[in-house]
Amino acid sequence: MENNSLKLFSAKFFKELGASVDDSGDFLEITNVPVKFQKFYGKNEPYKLVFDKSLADMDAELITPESYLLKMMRAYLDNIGDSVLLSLNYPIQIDSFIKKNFEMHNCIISKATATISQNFLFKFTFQTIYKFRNEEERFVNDVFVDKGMVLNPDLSEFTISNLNKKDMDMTQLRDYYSIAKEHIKEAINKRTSIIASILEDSLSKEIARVNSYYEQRVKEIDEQLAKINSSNSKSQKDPAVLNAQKQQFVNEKELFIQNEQKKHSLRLNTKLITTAVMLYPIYSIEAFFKSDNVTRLVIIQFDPLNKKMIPPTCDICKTPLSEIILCNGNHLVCRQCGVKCEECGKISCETCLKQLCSVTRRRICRQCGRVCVKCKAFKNKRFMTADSIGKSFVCKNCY
Amino acid sequence: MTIIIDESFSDDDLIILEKVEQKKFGSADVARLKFDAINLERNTELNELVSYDMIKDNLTYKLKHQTEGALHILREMNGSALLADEVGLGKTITTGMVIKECLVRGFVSKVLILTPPSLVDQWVAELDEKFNIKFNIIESENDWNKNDLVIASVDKVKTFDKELARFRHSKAHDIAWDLLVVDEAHKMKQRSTTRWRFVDRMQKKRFLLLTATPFQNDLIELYNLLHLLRRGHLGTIQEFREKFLFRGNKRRPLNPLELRRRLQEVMLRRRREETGIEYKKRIPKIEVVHLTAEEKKIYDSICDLLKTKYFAANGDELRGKLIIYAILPKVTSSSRSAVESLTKIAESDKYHNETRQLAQEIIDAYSVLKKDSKIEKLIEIVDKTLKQDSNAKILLYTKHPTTLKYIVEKLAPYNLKIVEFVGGLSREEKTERILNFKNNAQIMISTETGAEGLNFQFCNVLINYDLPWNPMSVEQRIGRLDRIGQTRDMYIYSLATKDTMEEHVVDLIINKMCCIGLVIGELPTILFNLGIDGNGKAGLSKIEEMLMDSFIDSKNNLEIFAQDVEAISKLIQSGVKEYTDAKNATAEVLDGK
Repeated sequence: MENNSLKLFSAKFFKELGASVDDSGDFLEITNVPVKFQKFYGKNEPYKLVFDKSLADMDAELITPESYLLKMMRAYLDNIGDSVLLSLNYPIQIDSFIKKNFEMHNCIISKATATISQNFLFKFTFQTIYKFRNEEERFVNDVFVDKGMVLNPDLSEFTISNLNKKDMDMTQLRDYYSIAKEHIKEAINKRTSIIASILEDSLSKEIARVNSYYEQRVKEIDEQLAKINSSNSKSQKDPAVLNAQKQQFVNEKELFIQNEQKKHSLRLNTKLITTAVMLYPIYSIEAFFKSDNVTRLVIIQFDPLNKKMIPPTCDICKTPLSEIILCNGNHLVCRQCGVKCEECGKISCETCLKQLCSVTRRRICRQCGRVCVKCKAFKNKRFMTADSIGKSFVCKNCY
Repeated sequence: MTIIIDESFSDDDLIILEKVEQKKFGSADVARLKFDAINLERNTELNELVSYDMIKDNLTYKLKHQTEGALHILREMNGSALLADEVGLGKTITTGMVIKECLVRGFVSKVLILTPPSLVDQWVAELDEKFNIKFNIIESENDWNKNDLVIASVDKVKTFDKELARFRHSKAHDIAWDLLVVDEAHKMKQRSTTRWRFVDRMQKKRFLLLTATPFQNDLIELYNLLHLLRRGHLGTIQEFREKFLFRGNKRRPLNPLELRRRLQEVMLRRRREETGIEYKKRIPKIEVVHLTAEEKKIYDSICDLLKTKYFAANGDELRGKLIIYAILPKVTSSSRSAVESLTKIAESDKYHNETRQLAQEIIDAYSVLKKDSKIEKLIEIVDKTLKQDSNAKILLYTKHPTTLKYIVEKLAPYNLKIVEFVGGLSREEKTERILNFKNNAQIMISTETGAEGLNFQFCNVLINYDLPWNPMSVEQRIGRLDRIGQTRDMYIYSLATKDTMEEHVVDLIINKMCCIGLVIGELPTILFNLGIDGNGKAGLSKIEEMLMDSFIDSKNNLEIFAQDVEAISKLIQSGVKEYTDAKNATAEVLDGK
């Protein structure tokens, strides 16, 4: 093990405790060590830590992978680093976010605000240690559980910080732990099977050796018994003794097989080393989109952890939208439901563009057409004349 | 048959959930730090010894075959193997690496090491000093559940209680050991022995058998050893006989290549020539000290005091023996230490008047003595050595601090650069003195306790001013020089006073045991094989006690003492021959040599 990693770890450890760490190159001088740790370790400060045996002297503590102080540092961490509350931060610029995710076809953002609601994610970190024969394998696995589901989130875009919040509901914690535990069992199953199969191969060879030996011994005794039983035998051996030996071999064989099984046994222990409760944001964005004629409020929801967005839908067909198209009638429409007015060329939805000009038979929007108060026909406003106060329109035929 | 899968979730999970429910949250930075801590311990693949960095500075030599061996045992052999490296390659170190790695990786928690009695302390010390692992010694039947990492003398725990029809230490069989290590495992060659059955009954996930000589006379011994390690690996005994044994030759296999192939599946063996480690010769130099008539008279008086007056005066045989065991080495070390011990006797009320009077007479005789032949001989050796090589480094050993001071005083007029090395020095002082010896001084004068476990391979001259009667202590002395890294042959000088018992003892220990071409580590194995490696009833080494007893029993008759020493010598020779035969046979079968 590198001395450097031990030095780095020791320095970080004492700094974390709030102690003063002075690195003089050859050694670390530790002062202002919290009394709690001094009591835990059983030695008063200051500590002078060296990492190279040649530099060790009476005053210095040599830190090696097996040194007592290192063990105590690890043990101290066992008690304090196992539950954390964290905040997963994913700051967004609302305008940029909208522009990045939505193409604005005939409008601009006039105003956008976001409200944030917090959700909990649980991270259970397990360490699994396999011990078999003269081998040991260690694995550390994280299991994320969110709303009862195991996730595999990408946290690379998040920044993580400590959090001090107490109003969380932890009633689901043990259920989530059970889910994580089941998941970890499945996750390690594959490795367990591989190791078990290697051990089984080896065990079957050893058992074959033991069986073969004892079967041969029994066979040899049977041959001796057969000789004794033959009429011209001169053997002095007592058949009862030989039979007793046979029984002894059977017992011995079982013992040796059991011994081999013990030698080939696989021990695996999984231990929860930390539980992190991680708060992550879900954004609800309220954006006002403004076109030439209308302004429309649109709500967009975004869950950065699951990379999940709930976009606005087309008012007509309810399809989720990736571009914002405002109809002249203040509807939010998709490309399929938006139709251009044959007069002005602006987009309107099916609802707003359902009438034809009775003169030209062209599909025109409400802004381009008027209903004649006399004949009730819908006509392009070019064929209409307003009354004296400009409130009612009459077609030129009726005028 | 399906494997056993033990899948569990930690109960501590609920504690964390409760904290969350109560909205007791910590900081995210701390959580991140916690992940860093987890990453620091995330070394999983067994493609390197992750513990090596923790121990490498404690190892005198970084030998590739040791790390590779440990990794091979763990990765390819799943921690169960016959480790049959040749002597001197460091089976203990390789095993220590296996244990350390298993502990660091969390593979094992319960480890048992079974060793010969004489090696129990050495194992404990090595594992502590080199691997920072604390093993506890099993002293009684109630110790088995007290600690996870334990060492036991196999001779002590194997006892079978016939009345109870169970092993006295049967609690050892109730424990599921993650790793069992058996040192000097060639002792497991007979299936009918309690030793074999005791080990066979152990529940063990990983199993290491250590020996450089897996078999000696009979291939069946090898079969028995592997039968213990891995049932049926060489088939049944009948199959083994049919397939591998020549009729009429128990040591030569019928299908050597096939046998070697099978062995390699469970055995790790490296030879010195493969590792490039060179071993230098130990050249014994017995320097005979001729006493003057006055000195000889004093010497005889001392022997008389110890063998007759002193011993008789105390009445209690065992206590008398213990006193002799304690005093004899001091009075034979040097005139200064003799006078010191004798003064204590002369001044103590608890001794018989006659004994005290004799002690005083000897002290008086010493005070008028004009010559010290032993110290003169030492000066002669030092002078000769430094004349031959002015850069020579001499390691001079004595058992007693008083003698050490005396030698320093006597050498003072010669302007030699001398370093004193005694027990009780601090680590810094030791380091400073070793460096002084290496870079500046010509002579280091040391007691046993002073230089224990240290390395002086830059020095190739050793002088035993006095000689311990325990061959393993002498082996320890020589072992300071005879190590990996020694580039020259070593000269082992030992002072032996003519026509005294020391002359015979020096001959036995130096010429028949420590300097007979064995590699370091082989003598303890031979003594273990002969059953004379441990301690005797009085707590001294068995050989030392045998010699001391002979000294007492011979009643100042040198001829009788010499005969006893000769008997020990023959016993050792038989052990050496047996061991050499085993070594050759092992090389023949395992290495195809």
